[in-house]
Amino acid sequence: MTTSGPGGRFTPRAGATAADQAGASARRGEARSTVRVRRRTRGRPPVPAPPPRPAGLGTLVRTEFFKISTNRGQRGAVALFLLLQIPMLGFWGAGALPEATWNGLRARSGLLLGYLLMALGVQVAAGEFRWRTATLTWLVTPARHRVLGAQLLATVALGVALSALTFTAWVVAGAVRHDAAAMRLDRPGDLAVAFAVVAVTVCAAGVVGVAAGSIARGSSAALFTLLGVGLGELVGDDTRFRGPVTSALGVLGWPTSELDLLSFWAAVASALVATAAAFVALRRDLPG
Amino acid sequence: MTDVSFSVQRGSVTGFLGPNGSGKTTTLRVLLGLVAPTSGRALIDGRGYRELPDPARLVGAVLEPVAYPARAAVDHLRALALPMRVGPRRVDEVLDAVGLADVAERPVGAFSLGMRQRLALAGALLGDPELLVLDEPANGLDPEGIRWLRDFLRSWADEGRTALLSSHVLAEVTQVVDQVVIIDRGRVALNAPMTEIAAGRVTTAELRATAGPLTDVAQGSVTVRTPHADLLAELLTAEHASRTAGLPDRLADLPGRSGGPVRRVGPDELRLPPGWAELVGQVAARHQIPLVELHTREPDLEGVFFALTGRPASGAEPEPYAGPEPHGDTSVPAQPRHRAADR
Repeated sequence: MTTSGPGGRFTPRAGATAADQAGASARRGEARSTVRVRRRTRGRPPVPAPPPRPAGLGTLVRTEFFKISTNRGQRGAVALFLLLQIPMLGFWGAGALPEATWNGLRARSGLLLGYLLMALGVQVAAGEFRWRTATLTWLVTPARHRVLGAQLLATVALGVALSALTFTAWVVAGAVRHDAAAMRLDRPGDLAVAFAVVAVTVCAAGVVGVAAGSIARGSSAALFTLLGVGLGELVGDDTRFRGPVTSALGVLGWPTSELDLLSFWAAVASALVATAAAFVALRRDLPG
Repeated sequence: MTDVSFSVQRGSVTGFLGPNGSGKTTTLRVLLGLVAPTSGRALIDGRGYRELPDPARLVGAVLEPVAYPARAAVDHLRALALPMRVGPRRVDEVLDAVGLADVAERPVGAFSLGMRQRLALAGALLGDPELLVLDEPANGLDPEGIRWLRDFLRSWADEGRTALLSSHVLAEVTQVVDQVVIIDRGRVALNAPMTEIAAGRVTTAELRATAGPLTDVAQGSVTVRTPHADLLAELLTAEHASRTAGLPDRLADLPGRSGGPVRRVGPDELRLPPGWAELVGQVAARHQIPLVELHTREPDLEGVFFALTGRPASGAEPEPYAGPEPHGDTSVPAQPRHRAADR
């Protein structure tokens, strides 16, 4: 590789004459034909050039869904949760009275799901930092708030979809065990309120997870922090079921016929505050 | 970084060099909007990276070969392609272009570092950008991979596209770059066209201003070894004096250096300015002095690099000879002897 003379060791393009360049190109062409052929078949305008504009939020949300669906851990967690529902539908509260079955509806369709979504949210946001792929994501979409917005929206959409699935399943299971009236199928207003409470609380938990993962920039750090915060909330009499982690428990753990409004609004407020904090925290550098 | 300022011309390949820890990666991350500078700015086409409407279509960057390890290579690229709004066909094209088409379905965690580097390059090419920014692209590549990368960069340059690549491995950039920017301890130490460095012109002008006295490697030199080193040195000095007699000092010193052109660097070794090989041959023949070795070392990028950064090449041994040395030149990096075998 080392040849005598600067002309051999270097390839002075800028100062070379056209003839020099042609000769040099021909010589180089022999040495690397494979690469050149590949790039020729690639064609010069291989991508139709659209007017340059940032990707829409819908596209970014779709990207986040694609990432979740191609992430073994996240896909596996959702699949495992859904599989777990099948035996639970058969056994959980099998001998309960009709009133108890209705009262267990919110907890059964939302409690596990809420904390699953919180953990999933942590993984969605923190995984980008854990594997350092945030660099790539932000290079393609430098507007970091749009990426975080897409992660939040994807988590919320997943929360609504999974809530609808589990809620429907438990309503059907209750109706089969007892009758339609036991599950308030004759009173759709009650049913809608119960579902809304489940969906909003589950999504709020997911949002808290995304925000925590985005702020901590590490999944273990975020998960352990949330665990610590949750335990701390349980210890304090004033914070029990009122903080960002345990408010979901306060809403979903109670009978469907009772709603602790303070817990419910605490869950919603926690999600909003955590989101705001996460957006502010996005400004931090991403060093190598 | 204290004062890094340079520009990359459209259609040129710029080598961004500096020893480890000199600020190369930080500079590139500032350019790409990942790190906010405390002062100053980095512009691409007159705009900051984060102000570009669709940056991945203009700039492709390879910073570090990152990927979620359990995701298939093709899915890794599809996840990048979605927000770029390039189709799955483009993903297949770039996989083909970097030679990973056969392993596209395999999880990235099973890839070697070299394969992950190629995957990173594929990701950078997805948007069919005009400018490539590569941070240490040869890291982890085997010799075959480095040759592949060099060929790729040459064809990239031949298409008139632009690239900025950082490296501390000099060998791989000398053959592809048009412009060289060297930074050291957070400052630009040199910014010069490769042709200037290759011709040795940069050494006298910029180098002396930025790096003080030149080392032989940066300027090029002639090495001669003979059992009669003292005699040859005397004869050559006399010959030099007679040839330059009457010339102004400024010219007489060329192509030598301050302190005299002939230097003793070993028990049987002399170091002379570039272009002296013929003179040595003539003098030696006339006086029947046997020569053990006579070779010319061209100035090269590596020489410029080490002259500027003032650090010896990794693995270089210090000059072995510590005997009488008229000019006290002990800071000369060791000459890689194997190069002599090429000639």
